[in-house]
Amino acid sequence: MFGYIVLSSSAPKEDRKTYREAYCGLCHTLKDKYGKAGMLSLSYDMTFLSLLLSDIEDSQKTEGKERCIVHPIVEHKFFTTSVMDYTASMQILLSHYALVDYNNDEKKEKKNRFLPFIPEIEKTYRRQSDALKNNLALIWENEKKGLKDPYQNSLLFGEALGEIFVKDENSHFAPDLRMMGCGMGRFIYLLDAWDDRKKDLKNNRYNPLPPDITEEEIRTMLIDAASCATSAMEHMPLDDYVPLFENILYHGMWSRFKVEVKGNE
Amino acid sequence: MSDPYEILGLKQGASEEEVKKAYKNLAKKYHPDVTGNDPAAAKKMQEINSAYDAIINHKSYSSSSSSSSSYNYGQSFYGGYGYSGSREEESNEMRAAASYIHARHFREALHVLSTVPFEKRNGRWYYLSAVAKGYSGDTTGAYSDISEAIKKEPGNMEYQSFLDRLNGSRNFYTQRQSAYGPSGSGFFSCCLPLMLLNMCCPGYFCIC
Repeated sequence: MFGYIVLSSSAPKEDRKTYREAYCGLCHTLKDKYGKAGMLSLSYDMTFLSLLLSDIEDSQKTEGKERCIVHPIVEHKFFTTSVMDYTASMQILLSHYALVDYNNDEKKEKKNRFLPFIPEIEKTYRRQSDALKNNLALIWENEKKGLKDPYQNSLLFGEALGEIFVKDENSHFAPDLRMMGCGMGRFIYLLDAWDDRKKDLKNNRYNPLPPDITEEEIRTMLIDAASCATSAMEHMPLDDYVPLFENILYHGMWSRFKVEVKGNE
Repeated sequence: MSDPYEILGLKQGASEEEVKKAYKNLAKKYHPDVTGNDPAAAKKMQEINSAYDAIINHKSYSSSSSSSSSYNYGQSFYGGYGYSGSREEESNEMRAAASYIHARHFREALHVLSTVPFEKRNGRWYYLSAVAKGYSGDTTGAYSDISEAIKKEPGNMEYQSFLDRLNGSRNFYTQRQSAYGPSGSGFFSCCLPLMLLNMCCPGYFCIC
């Protein structure tokens, strides 16, 4: 599920720089809070949420420069903001479930290095943890039943991501964040299913999409999910990273949408 | 209510950007962290929130000329909820749902709507359900519910206008998207190959 919330290759240099520095900042926070295991969980998805929440809250940027395990030679800039404490925890939570899902799917027992942090995160962020846990359980149940219902499943995933987008339930913009997270979650789930459908068919594995779904049908569903997210975004008082968010939502997120080449059997 | 622009310290017709900036400045000033739970400050903050919503919702709902960009924010379905007040003849559940929607508690609205038995679900039920679903992120469900509402009460303008806004939001998106050129043209990543590896094997190291 990770790896869809990216900038497109056409994004301006300045935005790429911001996204990378925030990415390294989140990595830095993960290392501080959770050690090496934390760094293993890093993704662009929570980098996006970090910037979104930072923009709404106008949170202070702290800039730094470092050499790290992954960049031992070249010193690089990064920045952290106060919301990264939250997004780092959410990253661990998401990575934990991604790994549980992977182990289930592949019938493997890859060591889960995030597990020790989960009880504490569940205690601090009950609402988010419960939403993710319960909705993923429902999705897995549907998978076991072989239910081909992309609408239901993507909505379950969207609702869970929506809860994660809501850092503070009392914020005036909580409903907008929930709506935006839900739209993006639906999009990610659907695109992931579309992306995997051939591989799943070959390996005789579950895929939530009906086998005869057309490119036009999936595109309509993806546009519906994405436009839901952008509608919510427009309502929020964002002014720091708007072009970057727009690049991701209108273009970057579609980077892995593979269009079929016609007449080439 | 007094003039929302005035509450935000702006002149009538200020741009969306100015509204957002002004809102954020005031929100910082009246934040409980600064004011220490002062009730007067909390009240002021409520006023600021309402003023912000009034302007932004109105803009996304009806403006088609204010913005200098070629994009029409009028195409977002975000806007007035078409909340037409509670109706005497309505059941408690329906009135509660309408109030929840008005207070932007969309999940609570959906919950109370779900308690209405199937045979009592009229056009208005489907309309309220569509609005609550749409604003909680389920635009697909909103689309099917509003279509049902219109089927039940074909001439209702309120329902039709919500459907128009939903359609408008999708059209606006595709229109705006086309300005970015074809999609699927690759993406920026500082460590693409390893990120791909990361996706197949979550928990793998991302060395960028």
